[in-house]
Amino acid sequence: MKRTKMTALELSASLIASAFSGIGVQAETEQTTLTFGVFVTDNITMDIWEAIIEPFEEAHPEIDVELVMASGDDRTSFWRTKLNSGEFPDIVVESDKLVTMDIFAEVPEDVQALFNEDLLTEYGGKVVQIPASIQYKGQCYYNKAAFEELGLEEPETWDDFINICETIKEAGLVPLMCGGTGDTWATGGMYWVAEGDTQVQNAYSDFLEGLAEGTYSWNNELIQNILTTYQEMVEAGYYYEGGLSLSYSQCADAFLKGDAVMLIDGSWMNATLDSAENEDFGVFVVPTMDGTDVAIGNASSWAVYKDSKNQDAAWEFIKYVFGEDTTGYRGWLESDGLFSTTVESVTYEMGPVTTKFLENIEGYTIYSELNAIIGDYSFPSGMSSFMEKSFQNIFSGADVSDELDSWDTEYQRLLDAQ
Amino acid sequence: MKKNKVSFVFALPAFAIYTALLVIPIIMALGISFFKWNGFNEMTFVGIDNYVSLFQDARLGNAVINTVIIAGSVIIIVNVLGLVLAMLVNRSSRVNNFFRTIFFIPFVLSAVALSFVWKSILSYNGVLNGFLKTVGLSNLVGNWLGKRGSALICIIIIEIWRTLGYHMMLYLAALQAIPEELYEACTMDGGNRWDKFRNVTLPLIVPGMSVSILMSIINELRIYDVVKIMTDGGPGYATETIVYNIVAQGFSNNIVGYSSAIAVVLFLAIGTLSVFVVTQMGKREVEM
Repeated sequence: MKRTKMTALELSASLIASAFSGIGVQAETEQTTLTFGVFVTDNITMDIWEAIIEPFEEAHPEIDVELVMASGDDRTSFWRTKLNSGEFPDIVVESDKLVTMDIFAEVPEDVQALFNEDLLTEYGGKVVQIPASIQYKGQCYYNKAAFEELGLEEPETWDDFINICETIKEAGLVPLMCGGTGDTWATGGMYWVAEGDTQVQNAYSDFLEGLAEGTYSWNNELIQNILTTYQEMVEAGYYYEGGLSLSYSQCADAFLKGDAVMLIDGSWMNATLDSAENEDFGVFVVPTMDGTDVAIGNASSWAVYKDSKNQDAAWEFIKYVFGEDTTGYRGWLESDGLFSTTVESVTYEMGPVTTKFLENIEGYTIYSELNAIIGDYSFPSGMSSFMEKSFQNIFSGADVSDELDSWDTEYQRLLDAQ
Repeated sequence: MKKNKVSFVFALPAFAIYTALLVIPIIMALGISFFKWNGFNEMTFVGIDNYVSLFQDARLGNAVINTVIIAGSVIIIVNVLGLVLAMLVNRSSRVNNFFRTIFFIPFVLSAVALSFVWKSILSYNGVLNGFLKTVGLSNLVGNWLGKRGSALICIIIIEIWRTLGYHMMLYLAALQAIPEELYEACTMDGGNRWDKFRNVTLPLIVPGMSVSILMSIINELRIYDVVKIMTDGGPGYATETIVYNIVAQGFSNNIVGYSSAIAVVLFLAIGTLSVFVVTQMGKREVEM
């Protein structure tokens, strides 16, 4: 009898204990859903993002990561729409163009410690973004067979480059490919990176500050010369005639099919060529008109939304991806020809095009694009797309000086209005 | 009295939805238009500055011109062609039913999906140029979407093709409401086809015509989706419309107050134009 009583007591106690422990377990395993704002391209597919998320979810079963996909070509506008509708994700990639809205949480010191100190930028006196990767832009990919057939070699100077364009054109081929519809940056954006962002920063180290304070203007002799040369190249027939009606994907496909011999592009093309083991194309740095060895590389940032209720989980995710298990991070870098920014460098096996791309800029001074510089004199929102449209106007024959006047007017208007 | 209450109860859900989704946003846009606001941070009251800026904005001026060109062309053509097509398919027969369906299909399909299809047809490496090259007409190959004039013409043609069936249906409904006896009376009086059209058809389709003209004005002044997908307002600003400009100012440039001011002016312009059309067409209506 005593034994029965004891057993009953033990059972009751264990039931009560298990009930309480059940509550405890339920409380501990309460799921957090972290929203992660990303985008996909031909190179950065859903699989790439899932490969980043899955190991983290396995290591942190209490956190689910949900992808929020930016749609359309203007991803910055997409994120602003999400912001206005109260659906902004907890973490967003490509935060650079949103940083001036002061919507991101300060990066904790243990997270900052994962990244190269030189790449950490401040906005409003705080580090609010992590530099997730570096992407180089503004090199020229070329069809090796066409170069060989025409007896051409990679150019050393701007004059060499123009001579190459002329030789190709005289041979009845199209020297340069570009895009336009839907991807306005693909018209003159890469030319501007190669010649504008480089030479303007060579000539004026404080250009953005000077613009904001009215001591510099876009309509100056240097920029006029850069854009007049661009227009002359278009008028000389160096660019693909139908470029403005092609999206970037169509333009890249047309280049790879041989519709034009060269394409000024970013390092994502390395990934396209290397992943396909395509060795038919080479790459060289577009020589600057001023003869300096300067290249453009931007840090692309991720950030955590300051009103996010899941900030702890968000920082946990970032620490995991960039510090604990970098397999997914490596896959992302490799997929788009990006380069690591972490203190412990994450590398991947580079194909011949990527290797050549990096060799080309060894010893070069690296600048960010003007529109990617973060700080008190950052580009106002909308100026980049205004310039991209203006390149299309110049491509179509608009007066360069008038266009540059409109850059000055718009720049000041946007600064004042924001 | 009781009947009024029942009517009110039935109308209430629609009124609530209409108020929540249309009236309140319009009032909010009006309020926001007097502020400098980036859509997220603090708002600063700027009075009528945003409205003054409208008249100094060359990009907006260009968008207004483009919208007027597109709207003017589409409104005239879809109403004239819509009436002609409606008269052609007015009599009920299998063939006419088939054509009614064919003409109406583009309107029921998604404008976004259609725009992608047209873009693949009209791009430089697209179906049209491919076809021209195949049949030996390479000299006709054009950069349809990549040149200023042709890009705008492409938008107009696609918009006409997309909305024509809808306007045909509006005219068809109006034509079918005309009693056959009136045509018979006209015949008895010795009237020919033109007389029947001028003295019977035209006066009696005025209500349908005013709806059709009104709807085309409202739709075309708000054109956005086709432009966004086909040309993204380009090349440059060659095909940018007022609504495209509103979206660009609000979501690309972060100037929500200014963007709201443009939206308010567009709303007033459409409202004024609509009242004008309804009033003028009302004067021409004939009772049967």
